[in-house]
Amino acid sequence: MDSEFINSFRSYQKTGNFWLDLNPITKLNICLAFAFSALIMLDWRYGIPLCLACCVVALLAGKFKVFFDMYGKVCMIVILFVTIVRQIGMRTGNVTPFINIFGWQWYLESFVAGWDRITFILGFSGSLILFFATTPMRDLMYSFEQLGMSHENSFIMLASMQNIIDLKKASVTILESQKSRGIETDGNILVRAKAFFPTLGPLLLGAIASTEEKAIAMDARAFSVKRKHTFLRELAPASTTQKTLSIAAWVFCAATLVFRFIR
Amino acid sequence: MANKIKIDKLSLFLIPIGIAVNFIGGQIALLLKLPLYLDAIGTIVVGALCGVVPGIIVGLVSNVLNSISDPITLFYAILNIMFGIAAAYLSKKGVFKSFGKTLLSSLLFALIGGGLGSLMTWVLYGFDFGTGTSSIFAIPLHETLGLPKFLSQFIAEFGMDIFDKVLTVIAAFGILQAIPTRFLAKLPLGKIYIKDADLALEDED
Amino acid sequence: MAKIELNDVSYKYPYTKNQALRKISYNFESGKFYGIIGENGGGKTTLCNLIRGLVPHFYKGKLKGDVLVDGTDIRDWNLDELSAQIGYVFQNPFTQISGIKETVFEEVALGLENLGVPKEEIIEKVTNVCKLLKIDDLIENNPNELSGGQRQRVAFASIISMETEMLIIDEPTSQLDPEGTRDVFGIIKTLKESNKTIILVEHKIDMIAEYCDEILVMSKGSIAFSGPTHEILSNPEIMEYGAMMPQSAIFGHAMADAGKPLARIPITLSEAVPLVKDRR
Repeated sequence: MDSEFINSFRSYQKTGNFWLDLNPITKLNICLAFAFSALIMLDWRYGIPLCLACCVVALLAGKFKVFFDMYGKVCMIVILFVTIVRQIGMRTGNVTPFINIFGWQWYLESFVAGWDRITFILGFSGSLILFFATTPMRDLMYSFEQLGMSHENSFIMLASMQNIIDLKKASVTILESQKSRGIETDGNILVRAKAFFPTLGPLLLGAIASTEEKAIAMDARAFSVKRKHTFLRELAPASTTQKTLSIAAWVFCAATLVFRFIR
Repeated sequence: MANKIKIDKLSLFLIPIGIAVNFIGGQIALLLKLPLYLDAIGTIVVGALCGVVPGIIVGLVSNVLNSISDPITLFYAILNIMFGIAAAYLSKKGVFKSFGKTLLSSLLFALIGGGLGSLMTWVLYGFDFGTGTSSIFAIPLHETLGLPKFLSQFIAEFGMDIFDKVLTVIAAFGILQAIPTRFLAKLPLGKIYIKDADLALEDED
Repeated sequence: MAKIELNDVSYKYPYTKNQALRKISYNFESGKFYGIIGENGGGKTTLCNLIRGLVPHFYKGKLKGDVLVDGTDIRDWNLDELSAQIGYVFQNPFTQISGIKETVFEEVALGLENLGVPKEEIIEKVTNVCKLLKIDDLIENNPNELSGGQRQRVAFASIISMETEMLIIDEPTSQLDPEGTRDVFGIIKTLKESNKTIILVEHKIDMIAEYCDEILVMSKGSIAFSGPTHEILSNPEIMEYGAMMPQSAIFGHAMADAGKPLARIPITLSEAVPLVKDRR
């Protein structure tokens, strides 16, 4: 047997990357504090550097692809929509012509207001996507359990994620077999809406029926026994430095609030 | 989450299924190219079978998981939570036992989805239109009919949501009808859906 | 003292018409290997559910008679504690995987984590079980991506690692391909050597013939026959109750019918061969 793999459980899980090895709770504190600071500032001059900072951290953590797969999509939609909506919404009153795109006059004030709002959303989104892209859910749940959360909640979270993967696979299979059995899955919207039920139905009833066995199987694994659990896979608890980092992040967030009020 | 509140065993294991179903509904809608979300079926089914707390958990966790790739959906968790609460309440009133009443309930769900949803969008996007597909309808309403922005947004979201929720409650109704009795017998609100013929068996001897 | 004592036990699931168990009395002794066979719907799985305390705690319904596990009435047992003391493996390899662990090694360790076993002890026990069940090449794999047969082996490992005194194994091969079935047979053989109290429900009668000390034939919720394996499996009457006879026993009876009886009716191939040799 691979003793290196087995030995890895004997010490705290580590990757050697500073950001990745931060305790999930520390990471969560930092990311949440910055996410809220974006909402508080509502200013592109703060938002753009924050968004870029998220990208840089993701890059340094070696998770840029995972991060940007999600973040890129959000950015595109938000930038496009909000820019256009603002140009439509704010074009009267005291406005300065900015650029003209094929006869469509854009105004500076609405453009800036748009970018304030864009970075408000993207600063918030970037910080949280960064958190999830660099923190496995099981690590987060482990940390919450260390803080006293029940293992049932961990189970709900982790089992949901696995169920989504499993049922997604199954739904593609069922849809294909529906097609081969002659149930129309193309055509007008009503036809397609009707195809929804025979696809979802068997999938869902099967899944519901399996919960009974799942409950029995998990009970055999002592899932419901009231006892203090041990953990095979452990993470290092947050050091004093890390705790200080968390507090600093929230102090910074509070400072943005004060700044916003004074201004 | 429900640390102190005791959830019965089967409900606990049904919750992750409900959450997955919320996602799969959306996925199948996407595969069938339906312009709908269909992402609350799990919340409504679990709320109807297991009660308020499991319903809330399904709604909340679904949105938390959704927010991994699109964090702004976190703010809309309140909608999904309300669906769970409403489903449990309507279930206790026996609404999901009749197809007609179930269809009517879609109005309430659409009101939560459209009303609360547009309010949330309104605040998040600085008292303006959001990035959802509803804006495609809301903007013309505002531009051509001159309706106020919020009203346009509300009409667009409610209008789109009603289609969504009609399909959602029909699916939920079908599922509640099809669940076997032996399974219903173990769920907190399951008894409501046990057929009379089966109930009669229990009164014997 | 009997491990499990059943005294005139009847049981009906909620909202059903017929009784799933009717007037069952039987004692399961510690350290013996029991086989349960018989028609589908005859009450085999319900009997397993009863012994594990799922009846009546989980399934509710009406239970009559005495069910004593280690001398304590089943109704007084805490289901959560009891189910952790009786290992359980069943048909569906997919629902037995927790879905919350990313490697087989961690999956097998889950039960021990829940019991609060110290980490070093977990590592030792899991390592041993994985070697014993020959799944050491799988320990780094994702349990959610394994084949049915591999999952069933992981399910066995997960339960065996908890070292319960008693195991209930309910049709472990019915959803497996021949290769998976062979692997599970191997595991059962290993278990047989461990001297645990084992109850095995299985249709593959040759497996039953090979490993069991005692056999129960269930039909319509009652025990139709019970007794030592050889006596029961060589009795052709069991076929009227939906149970099969081993090929060797059928052969033995056919020889007798043909006027050329063997010294006794064999129930396994290894028993039949010398008997046939002796006839020459």
